[in-house]
Amino acid sequence: MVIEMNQETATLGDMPTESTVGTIKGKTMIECKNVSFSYDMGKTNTLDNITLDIPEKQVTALIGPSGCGKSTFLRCFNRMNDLIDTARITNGTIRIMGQDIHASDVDPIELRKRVGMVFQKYNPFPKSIFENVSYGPRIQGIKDKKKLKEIVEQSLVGAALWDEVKDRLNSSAFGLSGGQQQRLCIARAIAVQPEVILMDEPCSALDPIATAKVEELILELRKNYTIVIVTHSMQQASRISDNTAFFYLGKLIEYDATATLFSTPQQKQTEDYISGRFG
Amino acid sequence: MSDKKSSSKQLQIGNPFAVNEQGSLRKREKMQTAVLWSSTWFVLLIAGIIFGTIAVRGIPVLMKHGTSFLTKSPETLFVLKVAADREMQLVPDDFATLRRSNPAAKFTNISDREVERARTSFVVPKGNYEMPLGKVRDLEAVAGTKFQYLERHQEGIVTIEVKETLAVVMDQEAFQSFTSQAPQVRVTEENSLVVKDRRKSFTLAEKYPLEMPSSVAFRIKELNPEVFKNVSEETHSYSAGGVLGPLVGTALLVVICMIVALFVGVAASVYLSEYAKQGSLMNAIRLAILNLAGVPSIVFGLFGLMLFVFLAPKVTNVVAVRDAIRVPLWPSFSEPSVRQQIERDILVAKGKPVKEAIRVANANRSKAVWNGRWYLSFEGWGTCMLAGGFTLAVMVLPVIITACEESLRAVPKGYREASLALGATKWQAIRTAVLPYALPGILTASVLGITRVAGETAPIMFTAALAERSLLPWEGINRSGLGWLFDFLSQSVQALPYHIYTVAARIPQSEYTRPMQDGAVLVFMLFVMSFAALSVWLRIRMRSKLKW
Repeated sequence: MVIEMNQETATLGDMPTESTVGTIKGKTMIECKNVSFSYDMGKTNTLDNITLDIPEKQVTALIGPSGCGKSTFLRCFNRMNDLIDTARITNGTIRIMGQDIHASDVDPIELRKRVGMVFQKYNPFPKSIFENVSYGPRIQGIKDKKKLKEIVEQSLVGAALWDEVKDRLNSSAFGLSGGQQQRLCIARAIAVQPEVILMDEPCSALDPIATAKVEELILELRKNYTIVIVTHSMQQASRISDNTAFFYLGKLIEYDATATLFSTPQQKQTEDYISGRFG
Repeated sequence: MSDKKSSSKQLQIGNPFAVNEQGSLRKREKMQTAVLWSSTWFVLLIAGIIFGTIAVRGIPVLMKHGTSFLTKSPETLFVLKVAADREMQLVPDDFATLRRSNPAAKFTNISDREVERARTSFVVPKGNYEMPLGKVRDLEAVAGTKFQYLERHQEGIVTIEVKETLAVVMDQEAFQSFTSQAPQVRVTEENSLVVKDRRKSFTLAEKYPLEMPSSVAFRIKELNPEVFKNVSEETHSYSAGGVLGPLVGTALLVVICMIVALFVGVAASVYLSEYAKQGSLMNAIRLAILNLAGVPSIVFGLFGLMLFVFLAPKVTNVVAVRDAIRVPLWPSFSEPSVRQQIERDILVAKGKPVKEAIRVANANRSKAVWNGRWYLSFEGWGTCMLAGGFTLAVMVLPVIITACEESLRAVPKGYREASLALGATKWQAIRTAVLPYALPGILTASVLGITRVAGETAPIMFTAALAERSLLPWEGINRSGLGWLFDFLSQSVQALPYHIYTVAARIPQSEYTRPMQDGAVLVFMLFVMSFAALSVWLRIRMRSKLKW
């Protein structure tokens, strides 16, 4: 990662001293203040002093070159970074719905129920479609078959997959196409009824048509969920997001409403990146 | 020379992809292929020789002995040189065995016959009766049941409980001795009757050394005392009977071993790969586990002898005098079980403190004390199935832990993350999204474990195995419920590898002992192969369900 950073420093010029944050409309869902994050017990900071607010029921895109820390930042929201022994937040606070998620009385299990996640590589379990979607409710102790069926149907309808799979709920999830599998993963995430859905490059392994379908779904989901999406595609960010944050070398460079950021970027690096002069 | 060169050059111009005969690459390739080919065929050849020899030598043995090879424990073979033209009689089943064992003997004048026998039928009402142990056995034999011993008294007299009214038939002489020695039993509805026993009578056309297992030999001598008065006889131990006892013993040892080893092994590997902080300490532990795999099996046997046979804790009310530590648990009024009483020399010291009781016991040279209390006593389990199973489990643990860890690591990380992101706890994620997908790998490891464990002789030599035992493991246990399980697990068993070793190396060799080895090896091979085949089939089924 260090090597990558050095190479990119050479291409993108000097770092700005302060990040530009525009005015974001809407009620704040996730509030980050001076967040620094380190993978190696604080020796080097992967994320450096990031302050941004993510509004409720909107799509917020995180963009930036590989290794800039946007995925790491995303995984801070549901404390998936806890799984790495040496990784920790070294500074600052993250508040979700007003609660500091690193407070001692916060159970990461409960947090993850409210903050769902969809991964880069679609990863359904090697089980039937029904079992995949009902996995979340089931580990939370719901055993009633009728209720599970209801939840599965709702989730699949919510993920715009119901019509395609309703006749083969008991066949293996691996029989679905890539796009369908990713939407199944989204259905699996919304089956536990989260408030926030984090998406870590959900379309990077999909073809354009499947990507279009997933994007359509994201726009649909925006009505009920707060969505934070990491993406490498500037077009995708501009198509689906309400706000966009540009990260570079572990720093937040610019954060603004998508329309503003893509039309009149304030920082030179942002302009270079979105215009394709770099990256 | 120059001609050749130019021609080859021309050829290259004509066909740029022509076979270049001077190139050495192809030749080297051929060499490598030959090495690979011959290595494979070398393995196959060795396997063929081994399996072929076992089959060629074992199958005739199985054919000669028939089903009796799988239904009896090993017996002594009697070779009786019987003269010609002497009429003998035998029970039909035994006669069939005799004919099968002596295919070359010429039996003549074979005829069916019936022999009258005076018997008595009577009824034993339900209740508790006091009688000598021998008479209990007689009653058990004719009633076809086992009785619960309520109490044990001096001079081999026990109290038994007859739970239901029994209607039985006994030989007249046996009945008379029964009523005289067990006067407490008030028999009713006494009836004399005559039964006709079926017999085969036959003679030999010429003098022939008849081979038969000891059971048949005893009966033929009993039925024909006149004929066998001056017959010369040879005995060859372990040369008759079957291998069911050892086979069952091996199966039980493997089952116990696999239960223990899979539980401990899977738990340890889950901890090592999922929970423990990876670092130099973990690497050291892994190295230690791997090194354990290289320890000679006889060392495991001695280790098991020390730990499980002499030192392991045991909940008991009959404390061995030589135990290391004992922790009193609760007072009890139950008697030591009859089995314990029979097997050990027990000093009953009612109400005395253990120290005093042990002093008295030592003075009386008693091996165990009973003072009415239950103890957690670190006296070891004795040579028994449980100790053998645990020893084998310790031996196979490194294989299972290493393989389990590998298969856990092979499960894609995405499943763990997906499960955790859905709000699963760490254990839930492991149980529902990791372990099921590692199961085929774990099963492969256990196949290897089973086949290795089943064939081990050294670890069970001191901890579990018996050279001979007439009863199958579940026979002859006089307790019920949990007590039955305790007694069942704390008995020694015969084991097939140990049986093969005994027959091959520990008894006087003769032409009669070798076939028994061959047959036992064949049965063992088939047993292990079927075990492995079952596991492989299970694995294939599981793998087809869980694919990624």
